[in-house]
Amino acid sequence: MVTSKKLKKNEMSIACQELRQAIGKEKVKDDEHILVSYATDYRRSIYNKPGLVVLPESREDVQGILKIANKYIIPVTVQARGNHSLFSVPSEGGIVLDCRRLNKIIEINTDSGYAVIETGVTFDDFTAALKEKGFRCHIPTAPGGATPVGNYLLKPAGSLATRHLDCIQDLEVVLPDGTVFTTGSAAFPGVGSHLRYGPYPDLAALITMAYGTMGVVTKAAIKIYPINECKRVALVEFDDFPSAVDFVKDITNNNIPEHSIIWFHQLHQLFGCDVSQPLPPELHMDPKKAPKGVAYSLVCVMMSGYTETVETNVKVCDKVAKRFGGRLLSDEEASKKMPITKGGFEELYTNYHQVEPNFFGLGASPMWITMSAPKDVKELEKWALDKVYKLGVTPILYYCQPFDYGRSMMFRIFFFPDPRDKEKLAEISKTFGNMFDEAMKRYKAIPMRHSPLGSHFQKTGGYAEVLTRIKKALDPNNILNRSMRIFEED
Amino acid sequence: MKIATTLEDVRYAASICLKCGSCTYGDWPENHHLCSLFYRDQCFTHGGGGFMSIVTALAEKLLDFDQKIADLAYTCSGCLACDSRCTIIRAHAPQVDILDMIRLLRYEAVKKGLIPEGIAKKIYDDIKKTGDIGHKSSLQLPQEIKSNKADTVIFTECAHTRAEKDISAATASVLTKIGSHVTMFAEKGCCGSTLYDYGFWDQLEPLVKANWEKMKVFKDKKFVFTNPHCQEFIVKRYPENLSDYSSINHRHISQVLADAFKHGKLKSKKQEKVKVSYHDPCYLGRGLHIYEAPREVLTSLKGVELKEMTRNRASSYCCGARVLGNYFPNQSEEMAKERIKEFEDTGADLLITACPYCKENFQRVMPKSKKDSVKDLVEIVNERV
Repeated sequence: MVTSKKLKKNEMSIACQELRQAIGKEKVKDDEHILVSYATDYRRSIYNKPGLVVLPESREDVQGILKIANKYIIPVTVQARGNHSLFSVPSEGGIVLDCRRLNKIIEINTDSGYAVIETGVTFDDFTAALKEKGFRCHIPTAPGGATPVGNYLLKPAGSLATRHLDCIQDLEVVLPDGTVFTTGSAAFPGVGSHLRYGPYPDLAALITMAYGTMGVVTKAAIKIYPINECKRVALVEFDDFPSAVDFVKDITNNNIPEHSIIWFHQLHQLFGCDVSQPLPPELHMDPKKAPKGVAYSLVCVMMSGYTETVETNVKVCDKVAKRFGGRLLSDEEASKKMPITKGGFEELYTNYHQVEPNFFGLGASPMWITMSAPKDVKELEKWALDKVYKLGVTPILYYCQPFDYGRSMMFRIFFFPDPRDKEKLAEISKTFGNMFDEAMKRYKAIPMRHSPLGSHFQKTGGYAEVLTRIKKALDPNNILNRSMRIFEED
Repeated sequence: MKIATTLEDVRYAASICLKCGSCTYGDWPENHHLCSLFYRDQCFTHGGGGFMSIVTALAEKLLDFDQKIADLAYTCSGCLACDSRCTIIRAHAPQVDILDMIRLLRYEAVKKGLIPEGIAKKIYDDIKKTGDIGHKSSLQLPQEIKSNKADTVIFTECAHTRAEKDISAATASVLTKIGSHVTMFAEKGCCGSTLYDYGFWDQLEPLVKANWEKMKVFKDKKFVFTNPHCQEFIVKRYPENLSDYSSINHRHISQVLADAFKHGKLKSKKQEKVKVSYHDPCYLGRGLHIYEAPREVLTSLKGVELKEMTRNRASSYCCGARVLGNYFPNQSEEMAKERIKEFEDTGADLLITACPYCKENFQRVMPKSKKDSVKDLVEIVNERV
């Protein structure tokens, strides 16, 4: 694996001075209260206080920071804005490179359908700018203050994942030695970002899902899509999960939805609740049975296009739903039965704007997220629900959605244990680890993302070996995002 | 928030922050920059989420309270933008706002003798000596409207600065023109809002209790406020901190004036044309959600054309009046200048507000020759009816 060097205190002090000279005093912070505020992920599961926080304002600043960090072999953790800092927890005593000041929307190319933005641009700013131009982008379950670049580098589950899994067109990346490269067609000077896959290997893919361990992304071309004439959200109820999966697979294969998602009954029940108040008792009952009058699975089908096409597609949804034992709710019925859920889906899928679901108010939640084939996810659902129910924390929420035309299905289960109950959190963590191992054997399911606590990377054999060689070539001192523990020795 | 609340009490709620940063800007799709600390020097720490991290770290003994934290807490303008955006912190016990936790940090600063040098310290020294700020108002209501039996009580505490006195006088004059009988409440120098804001909580409880003792005599009447800070504090914080509090009927003067125009009790005189821009004070807008009444009043005035600033209503930008800390140099002035620039961009002649603190701060920063272009809503009405 890759070696890491222990940092000496005086080296940090010298590095700090050099950084201030290189990029400016006001961009380098070492105040205790600032360092402490960057020490944790949003779940506060780890506390690693950095030695410095740097806030670059240009690619040149990033180059300067990385060269100095590399010279002194200081670990650098990159945060787009730190919203989802679960994947960018600082190394103790290292540098946090916070990209929030890299916040320019450089270009919105409505002809080719991409926008070039810096890493710190927020979804709220990006979607607002796109809306003005009649365009939209992929929107994940993340707050509006999160960043498209940070989020898309993690291949998010969001509003366009059914059809368009790759949200990134190209990337501008800075390596620890200061080298800068751009991927895709934009690698050719002056060409622009119209093509992700150029005549040579796709380096954007190397940086995606790398959690900042391969290089620092300073800007990205993002895929954008025109807002169509007609937008529609249809809700379909099912009494069981496998039928909902069959329905989603069928309509996806027949090009009906731009996106679709299956919600578990406790999720759509919770969505209508005031989470600052005690939750209704139904949400603490055995989740394997839906209460009377509540659909076990609720499928949301997002459609857009010409009005005639969408109207026809709604009829097709109705037909296919019936075939699989489901029921399409009329607009009126859906508005009456679940106004908040319907309103939330519409904001996300027809207004193309971030929805901050009420369950964000319940705080951070441990999540177990896997990807598996459609036939396997049908089996996995009951099994996962059983495992999680035994942990004794209710309500249990999950959603499931097809990625890339249903080749693989994402299954994300989560709940809200008391974050102060460390014993329970440890039990959950252990259970989740075991569940990943078992789900891989039983259901050919893989974890959606790397966990610093897991050892999935080593299981990939030759893949891990090759990637480690690449890592050594790009970041020989292993300064980038060590806390993800992908390439660590121990 | 109850003033008995401790860092330990709020530790869990503060720790729930998702670090999303939406506490720093306004509603989508405008996303206006609102948090003056954050946009002065963008880093996570300089926003509501950063304060939540500091509160959590202090409660968990991972951080020592020092002068920089005290300065940061007092440099927050208290504009309520963070609380108008964040739904997460308040969803958790003890259901307090982000700004309340910042006030709690100020209280900690007071206890540790870390009040920033300058105005903050001066106010604190005065309060320690007298238990109050200033003296009871000397305003005299005109005889023709003064009646101890009246249903309406004009709340004119906080009338010790020039701006406050002028607004109170204009209010008395306008009420005379309306012809409604009123009585006045001005028993103390401060209702407690300033002490609450600045963390001078050891002096707050006796002051609030004494004030309520006198106020409750009038509790069946309708209180009319000219200072939204007083109104917001009394209707929201008295119930949290006084066991014998019973809700009062309350209105802001802008609502009274809007009604008076609607019912023909006030009539605008024909006067020269003037363009005005209305600055939504934080506590009247985000605090009490009163956005339309002042605009209705202005558009009832003949010859007045209302020009909106880019950031208005819930996305209004704070005037900076309540900044007392030195974390950033001249923060209060910088904020007022930024807002004045926005006002100037509208091409309006007059900057109208509905809060004495806003008026004072804008006038402080305006060039001498333009100070008269800042007026309170009641003052412009008084001139034109």
